Amino acid sequence: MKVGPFSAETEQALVVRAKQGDRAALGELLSGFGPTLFRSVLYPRLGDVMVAEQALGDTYARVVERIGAFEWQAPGIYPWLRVVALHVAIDLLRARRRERLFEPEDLEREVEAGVPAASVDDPAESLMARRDLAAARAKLELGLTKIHPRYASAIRLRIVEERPREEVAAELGVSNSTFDVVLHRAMTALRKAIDQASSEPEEP
Amino acid sequence: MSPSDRPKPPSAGQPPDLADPDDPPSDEELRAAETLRRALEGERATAPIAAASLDPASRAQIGLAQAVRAAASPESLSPERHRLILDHALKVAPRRGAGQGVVAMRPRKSKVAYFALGGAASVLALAAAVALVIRGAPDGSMASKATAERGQALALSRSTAELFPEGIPRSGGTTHRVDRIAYARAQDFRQNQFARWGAP
Repeated sequence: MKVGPFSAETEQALVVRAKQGDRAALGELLSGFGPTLFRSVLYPRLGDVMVAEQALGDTYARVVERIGAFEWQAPGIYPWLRVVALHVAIDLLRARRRERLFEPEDLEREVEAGVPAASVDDPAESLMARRDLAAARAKLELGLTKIHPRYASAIRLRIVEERPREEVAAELGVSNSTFDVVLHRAMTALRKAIDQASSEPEEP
Repeated sequence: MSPSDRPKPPSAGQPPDLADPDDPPSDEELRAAETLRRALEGERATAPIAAASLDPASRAQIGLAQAVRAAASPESLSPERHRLILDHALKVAPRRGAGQGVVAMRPRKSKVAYFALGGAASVLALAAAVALVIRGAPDGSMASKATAERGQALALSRSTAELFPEGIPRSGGTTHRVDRIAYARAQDFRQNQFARWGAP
């Protein structure tokens, strides 16, 4: 039995109906996979919940338009949905110059990444979702390694773990007001580190 | 500032990411640090900072903080919100006949473009409305008639309550709500444009 929103047979049957224009079937597929697309692909890469929601809506619109072109393959429809979502995210990243961790080129590389070898107990959508979440965290961690360790600690404790300001200040051994300055500098340093990494040529 | 926080000599010449975190802050840094603090605490405060009141640097820093959180521990989309997005996508997309291939359709553009288009169109519409009033149109319902003849339904003015199935909190989240409303209305605007153009 396939672990995921649908069994392989059910998923394939829904895809066949969706390709024939059955909106209910397509809606069922998107209901099953959409939340994963949002949480593991769009939101971490776009960095803003409203933009990620917009991207999800655009992804669905493209899927509705292009489902007729999808050809069923063993991993199911999720890898295809993910690529559509990544293309939407690339367009949005190119269109909006906003604070983010990812560059369009990062996502282009992710589009080209192959589908991992799935199994009955660990289907492609689960594997890819975990990989996508891990990639987002790795991108953040890479930025944090390039800044002062104290700055990295401030960001991890206050921004990532959302611990109270006073608690983090005490842990870092500074007053609350000094911690505010440290955090501000930490964010500035992270921004510069990310920008610098983006401008550096990719290592072979 | 406690004794342990006492300022140390500035480390001139070092890049910012390698500077001593305990260097004495400038007035500008103090202001920016306070803005960031208020923004981070504003998520739970009774009077969060309005995004429009922030300078670009502070907005950028708060945006980066959101991006960091999204990368580290992205929240799930609420089922109600997901349902709204999905229903809208399925409702507005053109229908295809069984067995048809890809539907030829105008390539979708970023909503940013639509916002920009919306702004420009609003200015033009305002100018056109003024011109109509000045010239005294013989039949003020011309546009309505044209639309009715095409049989296209335009999005109507309505309450924003449907955009917030989870309810509107008594305080906080103003910026998020305004963004959500702006996004929904931009979609309405686009649909109205399609309807007026006679798009299927």
